[in-house]
Amino acid sequence: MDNRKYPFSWDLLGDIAVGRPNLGPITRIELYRLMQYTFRDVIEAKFGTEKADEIFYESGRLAGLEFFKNMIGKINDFHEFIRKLQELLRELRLGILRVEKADIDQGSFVFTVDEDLDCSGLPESDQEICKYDEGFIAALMESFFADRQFCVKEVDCWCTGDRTCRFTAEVVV
Amino acid sequence: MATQGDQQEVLLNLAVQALEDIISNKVSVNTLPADLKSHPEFVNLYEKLAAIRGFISALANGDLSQGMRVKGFLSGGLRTLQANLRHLTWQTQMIASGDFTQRVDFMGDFSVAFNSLTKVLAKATAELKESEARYRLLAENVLDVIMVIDLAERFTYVSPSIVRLLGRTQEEIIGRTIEEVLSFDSFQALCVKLRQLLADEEVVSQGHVFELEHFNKNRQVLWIEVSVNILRDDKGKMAGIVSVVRDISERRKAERMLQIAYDLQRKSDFFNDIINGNVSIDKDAIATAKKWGIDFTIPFFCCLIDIHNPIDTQQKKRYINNLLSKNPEYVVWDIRDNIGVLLQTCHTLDILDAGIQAATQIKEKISRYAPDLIVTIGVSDMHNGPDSLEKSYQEARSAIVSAKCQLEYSGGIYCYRDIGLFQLLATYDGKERAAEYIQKLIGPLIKYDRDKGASLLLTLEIILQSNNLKEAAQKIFLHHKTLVFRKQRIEKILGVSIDHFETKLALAAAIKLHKLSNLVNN
Ligand SMILES: [Zn+2]
Repeated sequence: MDNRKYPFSWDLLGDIAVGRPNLGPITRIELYRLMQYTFRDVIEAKFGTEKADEIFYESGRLAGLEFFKNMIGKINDFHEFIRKLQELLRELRLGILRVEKADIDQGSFVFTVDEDLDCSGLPESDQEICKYDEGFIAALMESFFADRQFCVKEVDCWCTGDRTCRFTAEVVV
Repeated sequence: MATQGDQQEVLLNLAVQALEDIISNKVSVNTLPADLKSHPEFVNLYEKLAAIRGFISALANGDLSQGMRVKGFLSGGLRTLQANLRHLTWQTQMIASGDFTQRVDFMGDFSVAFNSLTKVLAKATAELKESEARYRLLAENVLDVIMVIDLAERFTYVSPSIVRLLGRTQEEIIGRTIEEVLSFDSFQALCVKLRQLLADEEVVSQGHVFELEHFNKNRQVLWIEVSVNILRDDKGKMAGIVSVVRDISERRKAERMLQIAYDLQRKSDFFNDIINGNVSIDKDAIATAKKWGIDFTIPFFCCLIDIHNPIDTQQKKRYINNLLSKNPEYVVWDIRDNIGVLLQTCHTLDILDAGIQAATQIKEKISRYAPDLIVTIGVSDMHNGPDSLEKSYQEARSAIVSAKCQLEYSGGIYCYRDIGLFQLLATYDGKERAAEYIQKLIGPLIKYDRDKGASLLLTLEIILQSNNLKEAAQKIFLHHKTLVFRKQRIEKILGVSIDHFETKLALAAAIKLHKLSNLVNN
């Protein structure tokens, strides 16, 4: 598409310190969710459920790529990667990341995110809802393992009654 | 006939019993009564509970791999527990691989215990690493070689200095048994000894030290000192032996040098005492001489070595002593400024040349070590019998004295039998009479040279040595006429004509005596 109006760049996040001298960088999760779920509603209504999920996954992916590039930087090994990620996600109040399984050779991973920003505390439904997170995690993994592609799937979610969101990440051969 | 209400009651009881079974009792699969199977919602609930029961049961058995498709609060909580346990498993694996930064923050008291465990582990490991690094630094940098052998005769450690000592690398040795290493012949004697010690706990436990002569990879002989100690496991049982191997070749060399110096001193004292007449040649003396390698009862001769070197003469002498002492044919001793060598050439038929041959060999040996050294060797005639040592020494000494009285002294080999008049003059000790004789014959010439800064005495000596004036003039690069003029001046000073044989002989003798007395007085 030519003449894009909204191409993403990290700079678009703006200078919070200058712009919000009194309110600072903190806001209420409800507002974040209000925005996300209204987006989701409108997109689903216009393009259907499948398309909506796809758009969220892709958005998460873009967010993950930028996040890695701007927040994580130079990393030497997987342990360091996880450690840094855990610290960052906790510091940014995004969630508590844990590793259940990490088979680097096979490219098979299981992560859980407790107190997930998107879904913890949501009413129970039958749907795993964290599509955005799936894309986000996939992008992080792909950024770290530069030459691999990952398929990330949420297998347990707060919304399905679990107390944690659990993601599998598998290398796409 | 039962009423519908009764039937409901029965069905409810069945359902309650089925749920009670699945929650509380031991039940076998498919125990759902047939009557309940026609109620799909109940079947759904029952199956969910069965799945949760299976999941719990697996969890209780420590099986964290089970999946559970049931959604909802109960199963969600269980899955979270499973997720946490699996994360804990992963964290433990990380700790095992050395990542002590892992912390648990979701399991109450357990978290505290776990986190303090990882902290302690991190500290202990860091300390262990540090102390290991310290020991390694020590082991890798000492010049001594440290070897550890276990009870299976296997080398479990060898420090890198092994390369310097034995020309073998650590890789060649660590992990191998003595049996395998025995094939390195550079190692054999050592390994055999270590194996013996490994079997002898009593000897080793006292701390055992031994020395071995040893070949390195380049077939050089080394002397090594091996100290062996027992290696014990944490229960105090013998687990192997630790040995420290040290190259003591230098020490041995120094000891040998010391021994040689000591022997030389005793030998020199003995021979010098004989020469100076302090000891009479009796049976004991003959036996002692034999011990030092010379048999006074059969013929021998003496080579006396004079080193003309302004500096480091003593050091050079020491070296030449050691050099010659290696040859068993030479009986070497130290005498004042010279080195004496006695030789017995029972096997040489040509007795006349034996002295020159031997002296030539000695001179070659020395010049190979120090090509620039000016060395004079005086060679005596063959002698035997009680006073032969003194006689042969004096002859060799006379030969050296004659050498020093030569016109151009530059070292060389001088045989006693060839020194002519010096055979007589060199031992002549009537000093006053000699001085009188010199004064009477060439005194005015010496005075003239001294007063005028001339060298007529040298000119006279050359004239006497030459067959005619022409030859003499060539020798000192003078025109014939000039020499004739000088000769006339000498004759005028001395008041004699130097054309007569008797005069020539008398003057030559006076010059030689003059030189000799200069040599002695200096
Ligand atoms: Zn979720």
